[in-house]
Formats: sequence, C-alpha cells, structure tokens
Amino acid sequence: MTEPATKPRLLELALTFNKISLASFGGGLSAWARRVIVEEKKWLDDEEFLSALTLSRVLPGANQMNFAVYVGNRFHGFEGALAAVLGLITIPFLIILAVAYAYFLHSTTPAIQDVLHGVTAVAIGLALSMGLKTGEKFLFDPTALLFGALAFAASVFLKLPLIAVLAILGPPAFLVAWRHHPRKKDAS
Amino acid sequence: MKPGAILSLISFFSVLSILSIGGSNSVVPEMARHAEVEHWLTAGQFTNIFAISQATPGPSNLIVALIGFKVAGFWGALVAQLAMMLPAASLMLLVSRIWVASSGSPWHLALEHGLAPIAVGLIFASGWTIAEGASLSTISYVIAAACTLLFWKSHINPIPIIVVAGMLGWMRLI
Repeated sequence: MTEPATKPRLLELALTFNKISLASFGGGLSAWARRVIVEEKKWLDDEEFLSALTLSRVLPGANQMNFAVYVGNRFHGFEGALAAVLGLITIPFLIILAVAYAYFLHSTTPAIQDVLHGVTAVAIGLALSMGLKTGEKFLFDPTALLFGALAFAASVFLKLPLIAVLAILGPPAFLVAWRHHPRKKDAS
Repeated sequence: MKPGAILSLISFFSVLSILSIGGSNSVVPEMARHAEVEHWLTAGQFTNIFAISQATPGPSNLIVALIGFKVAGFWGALVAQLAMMLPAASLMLLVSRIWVASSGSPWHLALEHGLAPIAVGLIFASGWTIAEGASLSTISYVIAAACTLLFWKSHINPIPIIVVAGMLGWMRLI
C-alpha cells in the first residue's frame, strides 16, 4: 500500500461512489471503479485495488458495496464507510423505487432487456480492458502468468466458484510470493 | 405498514446477507424460491425484477428493494434493503480493518503479491463469462473488441459510450 497524496473528505467519498454506482449498469462493473479510484483519484495503487477487490468479492455482500466499505474505512473508519455506502446506494435506491412503482402499480415494463443487450458489449470491453491494464505488468513474470492463467481456466472451463479458485490457488501463490519477494513492494 | 410482513422481510434478508458469498447474485436462486413459497411474487414477476435490477444503475443487491416494495411498499423496500446490507457490510468493515492494520507486514505483502495475478485472471474470466451468457451478435463482438482496445489504450470516459450502446440496443440495432 502506498499512501495517496491527499486524503479525501467524507463528502468527496460519497460523491465519488455516487458517480461510480450511477455508471455501473448490470451490477459490479469494477472496471469503472478502478478507473475512478486508481487512475483519476489515485486513492489506491493497483495492488491495493486488486486485494480490496478480491476481499470484496470473497466476503458476503454485493461486491460494489463491500468495495465502498473498504475505501471509506481506509480513509475515515466507520464514518468513511458509511459515507461511501450512502453515496453508492442513495440515488440508485430512489431510481429503483421509481421503477418499482411503475412496474408493480402501473404494470409497465420498460424495454430494459433491449437496453441491457446493447450495454453488454461495452461491459465486456470494460472488463477485458481492466484485465489488460492491471495484468500487463505480469507479461514477463512467468509465475504470475501461470497463476493468472490457472485462475482464468478454473473459473471459465472448470466453472469453479470464486471461493474454490482462491482456496486452491491462494496458498501456493502466497507461498511463492513469501519466498521470492517478501519485501519487494518497497523496492519497486 | 404491515408489521408481520416487515418482520419476515428482515428475518429472511438479514440471513441471506451473510450467505451471499461471492456477491448478491449468488443468492438470487434462493430469493426466487423463498419469494414463491411466501407468495411475495410470481415466477414471471421475479424474472422481470431480476432484469430490472440488472439494467438499473447501482449495486446488484437492489433486487431486494424491489421485493420489499412488492411486499410492503416504501417501508418494505427500505427495511429489506437495509437487512440485506447491514450484516455483510459489518463483516466487510471488520475484515477491512484487519487488512489495513496489517499493511506492511510480510504476510500482508506476500498475500497482496500472490493474489494479484489470480485477481487479474478472474477479471478476464468475468469478461469471458458475460460474453458467454449473453448470446451476442457478430457486431456486438466487434464492439466488445473495439471497446477493449479503446479503454485499455486511452483514457476516454466510458459513460457516453455506454449510453450510446444502450440506445442502439433499445432501437434493436445491435
């Protein structure tokens, strides 16, 4: 973890997570979160982002919400987590209430499936581009390539759940990192 | 307000919150089953609200607010959503604190280093899985490939592109 240049204020945390959530259709578009948190705001570096993302995915709860808790707590403890979560949820909650009202009380279903179909292609592009951005530094690191490829294969071809992938690949990856680069982060 | 309905929403979703390992979509089948048993929604309504929750902005667990709204109106939506959020968020807060407090320790660094490539592999897997499940047309694959290159190599804001793609989908052009 490297300390960011500026520590965000509570309002900025809330507004930033509002921005992240309003742009994330289809649930869990973490590529957009990385863009804002790592590239624009520089609140986390790539490695901390990836570990926070992994924590958010493996623990129970919506990934985005867990990620908001992590970032909020990182800078302002409980209050920060609360500000980030409220920023994330408030406007989408009001939107979903409006849609619920239209759907249950007036039986109108907007052409949501069609819109979603169009957005999917962009969502795939976002996910793959985030993989390339966070992964390009591993291109000449055979061990990292091996673990990345195994994780991909276990998830896509063996259809293993996330928790199983981490339980199988996590311990050997940890041991290799422990033996080879115990304090590499400070040097890099 | 319907106190009985509110209580049953709280008791169901606060347990589901802790069970939703890997994200709230992992417990959607259980939500569907329970909603049918309790006569909260029909199967057809459930399919529709799942699509609504996927297509509206915000975290995936907002499907819970839709169920709560159907059961007990505004207060049902609010209470169900809070019940789904609070237990998982409390656990995440606790684990985040342990993780941040240990930063700089050798095991933390080794874990961060070791897990990073696995996380990257899983990010590629998520892109692949979305593509697999979506039954896309050739033009959509071309758009996906172009977006991958564009977002990788440039700092372009993806939101206008998402909006345009959504409109093209709405007009059934892609």
